Amino acid sequence: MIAIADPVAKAKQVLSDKKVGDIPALSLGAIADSEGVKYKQKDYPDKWDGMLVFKGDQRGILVNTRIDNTARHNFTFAHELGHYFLNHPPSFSKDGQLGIKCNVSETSMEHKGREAEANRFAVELLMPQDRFLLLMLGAEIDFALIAGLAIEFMVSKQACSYRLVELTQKPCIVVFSKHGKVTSYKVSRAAKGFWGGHASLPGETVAHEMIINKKQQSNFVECDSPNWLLRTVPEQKVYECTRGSYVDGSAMTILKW
Amino acid sequence: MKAAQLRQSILQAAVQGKLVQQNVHDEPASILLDRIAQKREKLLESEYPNADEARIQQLKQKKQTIPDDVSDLPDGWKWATLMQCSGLVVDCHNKTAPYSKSGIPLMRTSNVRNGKFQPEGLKFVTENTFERWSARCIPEAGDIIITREAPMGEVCMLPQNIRVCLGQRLMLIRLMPETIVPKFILFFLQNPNLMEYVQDKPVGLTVQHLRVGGVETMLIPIPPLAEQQRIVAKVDELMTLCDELEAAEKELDALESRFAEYLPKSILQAAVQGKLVPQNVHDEPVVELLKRIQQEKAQLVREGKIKKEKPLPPIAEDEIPYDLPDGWMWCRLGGVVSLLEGEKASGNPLPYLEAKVLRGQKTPAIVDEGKFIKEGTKLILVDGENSGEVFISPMEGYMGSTFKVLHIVEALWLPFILRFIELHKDLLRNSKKGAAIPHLNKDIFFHLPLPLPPLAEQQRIVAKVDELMALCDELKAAKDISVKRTASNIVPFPQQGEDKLEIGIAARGEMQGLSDEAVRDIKEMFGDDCNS
Repeated sequence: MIAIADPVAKAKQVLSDKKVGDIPALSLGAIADSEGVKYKQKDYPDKWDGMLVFKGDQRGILVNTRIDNTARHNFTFAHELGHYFLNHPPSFSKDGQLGIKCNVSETSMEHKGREAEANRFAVELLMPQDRFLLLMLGAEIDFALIAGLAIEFMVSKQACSYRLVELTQKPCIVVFSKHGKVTSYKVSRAAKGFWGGHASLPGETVAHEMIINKKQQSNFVECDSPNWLLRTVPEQKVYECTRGSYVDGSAMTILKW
Repeated sequence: MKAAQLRQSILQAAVQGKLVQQNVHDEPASILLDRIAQKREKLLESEYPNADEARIQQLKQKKQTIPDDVSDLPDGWKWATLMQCSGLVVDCHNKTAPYSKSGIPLMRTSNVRNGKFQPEGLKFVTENTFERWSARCIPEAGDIIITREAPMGEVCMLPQNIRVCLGQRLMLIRLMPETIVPKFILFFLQNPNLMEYVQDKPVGLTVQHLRVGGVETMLIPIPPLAEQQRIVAKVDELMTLCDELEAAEKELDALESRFAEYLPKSILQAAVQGKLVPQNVHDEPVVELLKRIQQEKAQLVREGKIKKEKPLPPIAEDEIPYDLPDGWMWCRLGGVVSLLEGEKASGNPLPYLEAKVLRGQKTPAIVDEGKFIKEGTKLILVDGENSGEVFISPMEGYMGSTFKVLHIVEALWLPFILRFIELHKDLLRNSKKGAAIPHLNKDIFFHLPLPLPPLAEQQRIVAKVDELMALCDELKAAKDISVKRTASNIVPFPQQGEDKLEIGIAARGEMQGLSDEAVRDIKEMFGDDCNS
């Protein structure tokens, strides 16, 4: 196999070499099998999400299923495969045993290092750009599209929304929050430089009102852009829509114009 | 406002009469336009530039009209079509001219940019082609050239001492001498709202071209001649300022692009000069710190952990690179660090920690013996190209042969010393000794003058440096930088969840070890066929 260090290129190569079908998440086990990588998916009482273990030339993957979310398990599995295919060296050693232990964050703001590389690999492996683009092109970015694509690719809505924002040509920002505090966000290429860098969701926004009242917004509404954005968008109306899972206080807001 | 936007605003203001004051004593433009008409009529009657062209121009002139609904102009100004204020307005031969290897330069639309003639990429035509393409009118210095498409509306003035053949989609405007200041027309044609002045507009939302008739009948607000001269002088002056602004912008852009690269070193430099955090007179004096360092080193020598070293020479006046803040003192790096060999050990299979492994570029081999080091040991490369690079071992293992253990006295704030060594990384790399295998120049390393702040200040400095370095990383890596603003409109949320919220849906951080179940599965994994 040709050595490729770029995570995205590597994932593309794996998809092509292994002749992976339309839903890559269904092929993760087969990919591991074809490489002779052992794996186990099990509910461990540990805090880590996944692990790549080394023994001589052999490799093994453990996926912790303690959080009952198949999309998340898929992402963790793909992330560990990323460490494997990118030839990442181990980061811990115990009794001669070597490995990489990960807490996998699909929407982490990390942008460098091996964890970020494994994430980039996982994103391209689970949501290949060309297939993803085919399904998203022409569609309006909204909750229905995100939910539909997340089901299609068997990934979480968070991972899916990040991929959408990454690939869209339109100005769009997705913001994740918990109890009103911004936990992560992603800005599309066309919206670069607009995001206000809020630590908390700004007041006087519909998002703020929705979260306070634990409500779901059915449609996008026009918003007062200075509340959200650093710069105004000349002669453009900015729209926002927020929905949340208020059991744990988490919410997702989409801004677009 | 960027220079490019400023230029456009200046040009717009210029042709609206807003740039210079009107003078009631100036000869009104109506008289000027009458004079132009008379002079042109005389010229065309004399069959200038040739009989056919003169006849065409005369015919077209007769059709030129000014619509009734034109907007008001400043006093003394008058509307005229481009033809009415010119001698000739000629469309070029609209066919692709056959190129030749040499001959007469052929001006194409790509040679007209930003109000200037751009000679880059000029093609050539033969004398014969030149004559055919210039049959209507031979271009002369001072003629104004406008592009009709690809892209439309670019203009320039033909320079002196150049003979050119005009290619397709170009039009030539020749003004009557001493009537209209050519630069005024040139500035007008560069006006960003030019399309508003075009009478014969092509239909369509995004018009990409100008019709010949559209150029000929374009409406121009003509000021008195004296005012034209004042406007041109003013615009020239302002454009020079725009040039300066543009140069400064370019410089700034270049600086910005290198900013992230230079910034970390500047931060470290400022840190070790005491410029990053304020001094505190209540901090423990450095003299006390030095005493503790000496005691600690003496103890280490007694315990046999480090060898007794030769005393380092005091720092001479000419070695001092900059003045230190009050309360700081100079000492030498060799006074606070030592290079150790590591303890030999065997029997326990552990990773072999060489530079590539520590850089994350290689999986470590498991070996049974070597120089044992604990997790967190500071290692310095003493052999090879990158001598002087410091690593902190992420796990226990056997030290690579190109390393030495870097021992730093505990009385100091370790990260401060590591940052100081990082600042001198290039010096250490560039002053290696030995040709075949370069080694760390220990003389230079140990003799480096180390500016020593009080311990508390060392801690404050490092905290600040870490904070700034994180920002540098963001600058370097993320194109999408969020800017914190002191948003007064942020209404605090009622406390509903935990106080400390981890950033990221699942933040990375300390993880628990392995459960027995996981350890068992790992062991099983490599034995049986267990994929499940």
